[in-house]
Order: sequence, then structure tokens, then C-alpha cells
Amino acid sequence: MTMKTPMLWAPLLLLACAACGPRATVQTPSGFAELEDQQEYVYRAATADGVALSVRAEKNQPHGNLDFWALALDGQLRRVGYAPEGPAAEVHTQSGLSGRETRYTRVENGRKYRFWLAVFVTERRVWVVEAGGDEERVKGAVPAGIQKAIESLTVG
Amino acid sequence: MRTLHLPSGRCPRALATLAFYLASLLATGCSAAMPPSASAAPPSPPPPSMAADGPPPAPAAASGSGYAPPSAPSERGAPTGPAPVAPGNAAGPRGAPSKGPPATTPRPTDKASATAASATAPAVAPLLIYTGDLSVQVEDGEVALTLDKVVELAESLGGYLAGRKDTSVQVRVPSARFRDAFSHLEKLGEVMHRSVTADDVSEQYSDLEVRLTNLRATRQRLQELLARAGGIPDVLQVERELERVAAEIEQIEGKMRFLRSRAAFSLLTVNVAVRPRTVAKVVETTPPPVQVDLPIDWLSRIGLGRLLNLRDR
Repeated sequence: MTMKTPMLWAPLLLLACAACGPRATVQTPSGFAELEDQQEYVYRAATADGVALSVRAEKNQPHGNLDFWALALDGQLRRVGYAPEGPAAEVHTQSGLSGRETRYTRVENGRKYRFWLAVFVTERRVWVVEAGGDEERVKGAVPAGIQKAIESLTVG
Repeated sequence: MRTLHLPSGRCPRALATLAFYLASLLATGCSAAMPPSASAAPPSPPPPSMAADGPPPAPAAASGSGYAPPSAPSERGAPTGPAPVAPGNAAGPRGAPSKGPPATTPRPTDKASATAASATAPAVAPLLIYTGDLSVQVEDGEVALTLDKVVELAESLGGYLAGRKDTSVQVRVPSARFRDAFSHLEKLGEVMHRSVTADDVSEQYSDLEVRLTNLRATRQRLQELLARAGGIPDVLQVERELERVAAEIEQIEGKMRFLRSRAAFSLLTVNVAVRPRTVAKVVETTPPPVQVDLPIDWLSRIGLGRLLNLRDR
């Protein structure tokens, strides 16, 4: 091996590490289109009339369990004006993840919005599924499609 | 100044006498409102309460409410005779004049008694008109009942109803019972406001008395003159003057009756309002838990704001 060998492998290692970042897939609901080149979200899709679905992956720091993160997220949303429609519900994905789902409403400028939040916790990551839009548009087949997408979440 | 034209040439002595009386009459008429001089007119009689009445009845004891209305008007000289002016016959300015002066008024023509009364009176007691206002709050549905109670109380004290509206009533009660009435009224509800005012009309009354005395003396002299008048023109002239004097006397008597009536019966106005309901507020004794702001930056990015901003990647 010559001295040049490590210099050649370094970029390849960096590329390999980048490819090892958090990945999540969901079944994009009917009527939604997946948006590419997202930075904050690992997945994001939206309907043409403004209902969005996203998955974000954050580091599990401080390290907490599902109760911790579910309460942290709920407290944050309540603090800024989100009102829960009911108690949080357990949700299970087809891939075997267990999480907690809460549905909220929020009124802004006289318009009522619906916002769904599901949180899943793994050893290293906190996976947060967000979905919502104007109340008039989160109806019909949209809610069922979102729920199906949540349950189809796979992380890696 | 009025000028009299008398016929001349007949009965010079009678004419001279007539002229003298008329001249003195004119002089009296001009100075009717002025206090009489010592030589020209009889001394003014004292206010009615002093002149004819005995000591006024003792005022009722004050209630225990801590509020002390003024002393009963009778203590200050308001007329409190045994027969106060009856409500129905309380002769105001428009009321029918009663026949003859009331029992509480000294007879001005009885100069001797008036002079004696003046001489024995230690001081001129004021003639006061009392007016009281009271505002009370009662329970819902008790307004009309409370107004009825006010009227009943006034009547039980010898007073009468002076006026009534939906939420207020005016009654007149004998001034000697004013404090008593006020104390009772204060118990009808929660007192929100009370006030008592006294209007001193002594000077006005005294002036009227002086004018009345002078006019009566003038009338007496004119009647004497009439009896001695010879010719018809003289008789007519004196009769016209007598009529004028009589009209003035009646007017003054009416004013004096009005003042006496107002002083004898104090006006009490009672306003009744519904006590506002006390709304029991449900006070949360346990405050909501304090929201902890976790030091996790991405939490603040959760929500619709960022989610629906599709151009924000």
C-alpha cells in the first residue's frame, strides 16, 4: 500500500457515513406527492390543496423513553395553542414500532386546523410523524390515508 | 304711586279726613314689605310655633343604625300644633284658602296678645322645611312590597302619599315624626344613600307676617272710613281700595299656609332598587401545572407553521 491509499478511502468513508443517516419510509397516501430534497424532514409529502404529512428524526437527547417524548411534545403543542381532541392513543406500525398518537385542533385567523402527531422512540432516535391542514381539507379519504401512512412507518 | 282724585267742595271735613286716611294708606301700601316702624304699625308676631303652641313633642329616639338625622323639626320651631294642616286641605299656593287663620297663627289684629307674645318670646325659632332622601336595595321581587311599606309607615305616622313611581315613592310625614320615620325606613333594606336637607324659611315667613299685619290694619281703617264716607264716589273709591287690600291679604295668607304646611309635613323620598345578584365564581383552587420549557430546540419547530410551509425544507 502506498501513502495515497488512505486519501482515496477517506471520501468513500464520508459518503458511506452520509448514507448511514436516519431513513424513514411511509406509504404515501393517495392524493399526496412526496417532496424531495428535504433537510429538516426525512420524509415529507403534501396534497395539492395544502395537507401535509412529514416524518422527522431527531436524536434521542436527552435520552428518554416514549412517555418522556410524548409528554414533551404534548406540552410544547399545548403551550402554543394546540388543543387535543382527545387523549393520546397507542399506535403500532406494521414494522413493529409502538408509539403514541394525539390529534389536535388549532384556530388561526378564524380558521380551524387539524394536526396529528405520532411519536416513536428508538434507542438513538425520536421519530415524529406530523400531519395536518385546514379542517375543511382534512376530510373524506384523507384522514384514513394519513392513519395508514403512520402505521406503515419504517425507520432505519 | 297711585293718585286719587277726590271731589272737592262738599263736606270739607269729611274730605279732609278721607284724604288723611288715603294718604296714610298709600304710605302703608308702599312700605308693606318693610318691617313696621315702632309708631306706624303693630309689632310683628312671633312665628306660629312660638306664639301659640306649647313645647313640641319630644323627638323619637334615634335608631341604632349610627346615623343621626337632624333633630325633629319641632325642636326648631316647625309648627306642630295639635291639628296640623290636613293633607287634603293643605292649602298650597293654589289651594283653597281656609276660613280664618289656623290655630297656630296668632291673630295680628289682637295687638295686645301679639305684643305680649313678642315680649315673652326668648328668641325667634327658625321655620324649617325638611326634605329627606333615602335609597335602599332589596331582594328581587320586593320592590313593590317595599314601596307599599313606605306608604303604610307614613300613614301610620300621620303622613300621606305624595307621589309614587315604579321604583320610588314620596311621602309626607309630620315633621315631629321625621326622625322616627327615617329610622323605620332605614330598616326596609340595605341603605345605599341617605340625605337630609333643611330649608330655613323663617325670614320669608316673617316678612309675610309683617305685610299681613299692616294690610289688616289698613283694611280696618278703610272699613272705618267707609262707614263715615258721605258721597257715592267716596264710597266707591274706598270699596275699590278695600277689595285690593283684601285680595292681597288672601294672597299672603295663602303663602303663609303653604309654608306652614311644608314645615309641618316633611317630604321623604324613598328610592328602591333590586340588590344585584352575587354571582358565585368558581375559583380553581389548584392552579394548572407549570409548563416546563425543555432545552430541546427542535420541539419549537413542531407544528403546522413549519409543516405547511412547503418551500421551507
